[in-house]
Amino acid sequence: MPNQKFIFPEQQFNRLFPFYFIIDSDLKVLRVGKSLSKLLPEMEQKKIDEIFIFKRPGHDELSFQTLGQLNQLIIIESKGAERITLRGQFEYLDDSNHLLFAGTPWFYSMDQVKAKKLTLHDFAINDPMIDLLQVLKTEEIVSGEVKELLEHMQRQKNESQTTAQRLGQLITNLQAGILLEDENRKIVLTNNTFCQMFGIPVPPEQMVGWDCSLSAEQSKHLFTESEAFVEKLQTY
Amino acid sequence: MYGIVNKAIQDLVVKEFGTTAWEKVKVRSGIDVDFFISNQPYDDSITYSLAQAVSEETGLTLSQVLIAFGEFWVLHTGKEKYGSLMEAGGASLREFLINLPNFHSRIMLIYPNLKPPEFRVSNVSENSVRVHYFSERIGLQDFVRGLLQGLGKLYDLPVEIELLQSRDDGSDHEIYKISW
Repeated sequence: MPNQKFIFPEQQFNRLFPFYFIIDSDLKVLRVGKSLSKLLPEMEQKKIDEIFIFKRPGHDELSFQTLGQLNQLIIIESKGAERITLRGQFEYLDDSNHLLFAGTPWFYSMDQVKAKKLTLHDFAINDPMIDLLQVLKTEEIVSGEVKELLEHMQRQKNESQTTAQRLGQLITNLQAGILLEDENRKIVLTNNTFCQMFGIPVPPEQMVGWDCSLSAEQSKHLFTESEAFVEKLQTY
Repeated sequence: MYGIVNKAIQDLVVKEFGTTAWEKVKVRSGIDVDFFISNQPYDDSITYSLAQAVSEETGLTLSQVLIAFGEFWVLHTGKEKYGSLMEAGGASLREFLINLPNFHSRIMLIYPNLKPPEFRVSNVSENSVRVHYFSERIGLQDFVRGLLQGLGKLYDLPVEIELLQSRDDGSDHEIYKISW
């Protein structure tokens, strides 16, 4: 049935595409779907470039012919304060030499839908827009929570850094010799007193990262119970 | 830009140069963000600072960084996070490039704070396509080149990319000719 035609009464077509509009070859709007006319009541007899800005495609000189040939997603935004975004497609109507725009408005929240005084009844039953808004809302809530969690972690990290800095300063200026190693026996922190005690001729901050695995053996002679000192270190 | 872009730069640096290199990039760029959330918008300056810092830290030119990033975006970020969506873009490179305008138009609607580029295609032949790139952002021509190179690799096709015109020489947009 390659040439079969579908003819719809306007009321039925409105149920399927309540945001449709039809333009003639002068780009003048002839008819407007019932829900679209709620959003933009004075479209008829105006040229589409008086009503809409083309967002996509946004860089072409658009004529009746090019619009009819555009086989791509169309995004248009109404001029003026209303700023209604419609997404859809143009289809050329052979019999009448008109263009049909079939599409739906694009919203980011149910609040926007409400602000435009639209209800579920204004959308076609097959239009997934409203369901998508619910999905977006859920995602927005989760994103907000993740953001809050990250801010909380960032605050904690900053507080830990401040505490570590304070502790570091305290240890550096302490009168007792201190050396802190990590689990790989690398120096994390040491102080001036430690360097003086062991006669190490470099500033303590330069020793950070040094490997200490052999240092116990090398310096055990400085301790009265040298073997016990090495043994004790191995247990950590 | 959305966090996913900065996150991809992070993933690229970590994968190619390691975690320490990424920490150095963050310090060098002065960006104190531990975790980028993919669907949160961040200031463009963060992305530019990160790219510049990657260049300084790795010794690659900014152009090389952007090309590498473009390839990574397609072959890792796109493939790993939006695999099925990417596959739905087309069964061949030619088909994917023809679909590129629709691909971006749809993304534009989903991310309201996005200022996505606009792509148009022209001169479609059996083994070449011209891709027109319109963007408010400057300095990302090499990123687009990297994207196109990445797409060639995705479809396992050796591609040749020629920049036919650029905003740098007074045109209002870039045109890339991709041949395979």
